[in-house]
Amino acid sequence: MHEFDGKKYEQASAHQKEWGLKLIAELELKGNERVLDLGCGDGVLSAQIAELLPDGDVVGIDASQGMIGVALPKAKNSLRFMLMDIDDLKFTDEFDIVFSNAALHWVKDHKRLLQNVNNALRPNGRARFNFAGEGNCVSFLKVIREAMADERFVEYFADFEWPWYTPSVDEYTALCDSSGLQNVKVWGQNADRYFPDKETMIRWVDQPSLVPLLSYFPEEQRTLFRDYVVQRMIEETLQDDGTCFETFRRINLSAEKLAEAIRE
Amino acid sequence: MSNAEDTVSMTFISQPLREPVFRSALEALELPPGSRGLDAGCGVGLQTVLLAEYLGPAGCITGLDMSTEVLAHAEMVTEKAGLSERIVFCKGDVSRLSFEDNAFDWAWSADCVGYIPADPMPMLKELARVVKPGGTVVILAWSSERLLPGYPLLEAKLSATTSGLAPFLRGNDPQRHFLCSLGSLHHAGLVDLTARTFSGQAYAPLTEDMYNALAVLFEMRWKGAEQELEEKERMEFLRLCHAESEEFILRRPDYYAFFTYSMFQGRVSG
Repeated sequence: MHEFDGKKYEQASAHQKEWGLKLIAELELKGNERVLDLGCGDGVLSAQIAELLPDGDVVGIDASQGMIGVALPKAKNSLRFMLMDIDDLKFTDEFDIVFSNAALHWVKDHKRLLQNVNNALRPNGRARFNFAGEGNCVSFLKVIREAMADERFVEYFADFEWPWYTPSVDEYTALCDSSGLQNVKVWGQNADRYFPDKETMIRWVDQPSLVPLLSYFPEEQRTLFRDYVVQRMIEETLQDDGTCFETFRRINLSAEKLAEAIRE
Repeated sequence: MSNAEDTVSMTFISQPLREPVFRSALEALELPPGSRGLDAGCGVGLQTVLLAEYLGPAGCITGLDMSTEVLAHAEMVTEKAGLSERIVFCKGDVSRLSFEDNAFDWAWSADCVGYIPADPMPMLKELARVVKPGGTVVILAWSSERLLPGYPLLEAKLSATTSGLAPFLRGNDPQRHFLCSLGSLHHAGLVDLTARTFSGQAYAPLTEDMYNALAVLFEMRWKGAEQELEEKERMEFLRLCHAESEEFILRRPDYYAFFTYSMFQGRVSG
């Protein structure tokens, strides 16, 4: 699994947190809900949700030991963290809301995911996701594809499995329609960004973007690969005014599990 | 947060340091494939999972720990590794085991027997009792480290503080120091004693998980140590060893660290 560095990650993903906070506000929580946070990472957003639930509680799950380790100190009675693969969700009729911010593009099998989410929800429960969609990080992915074909790196990518799923709105709508969830709304969101300078862009490349790729390289090759990606990213994204441009395209899902949709 | 959750958090984050060392120890141990073993003081089960992977599909392991809270995490670790069918956890005290005599082919205890402050003798005797004649009892624990390259004096002073010494002092009784475990194993009636030390290391550029693991290790090793330092050394410590500092040593391009785990092993006679 990808082990993110929680301490550095908190800074690098400030914009992810920002989106997350907007997403939480949109949930219009009553205060007594039971919420499941898929891919909770360092647990900052799970903790924010728990603050809004004086009579409810939050369960955050993540597949990274390192991340759950960073999240655990935030745990309290109404906030629990569990080490778990999103692919292995086994909850039944347990949650009022299944929430996920900036995590589900790491999940390859969304058909199974959506079924599991439907099972995890109580009648009248809601799902609300925001994750990377089609057209996300065009420059970064271009550089990675080039690197995969470069003779210096090609051997290390032999067992590499493309880790991201970034569907289009149409593709995801079709998938959701066959999931059993009701009142499905899927929409895209343009969050393209100008990093204020090279350094900020490079920090973003280092953490979290390169994390899942570095583990394919032996220790002594990692610097070479990292420096190659950074150099190419500067070439691809640097603007005349010193900023760096990268595309960030999100996909949103809002859906419900209707009481009458429960099948025997 | 409870103490248990604190420990779980630190164990998860620091595991990337330990895992390769435990793998080396397992290679050296040559536990019989498909055997039945006891992980005494299993904690969150990270080593239990390594043991189970090493034993192969026919092996099975019982993980024992004192804390229900910690064992709940161990269940999740095992479930995620897909090893729930080969690992069972139970709550209990290593010095009063509820297992029958000769119940296991071997017993393993990492960072527990001989390492925690409790007297190791009752625990070792129990491990020797529940392992079959001819089977192995093995204990291993963190035994040393060099984490501050270029600052040997500061590191020596940190290690000589109350909290720096805490993992290694056993009521000032030298016989109970972990590195004197050959004596305890002998007193527990074990034979064919052996000792080995394994090293782990980390160097720049640190992967993200190693960076975090080391940052947590600093906290585990020296939390509270700074109060015992002289002002000048305290300033140096804050400068080098705090993540917020510009000169945090883990960000140095020439950072290098190593540490050791020592393993003592004996056979149940008969």
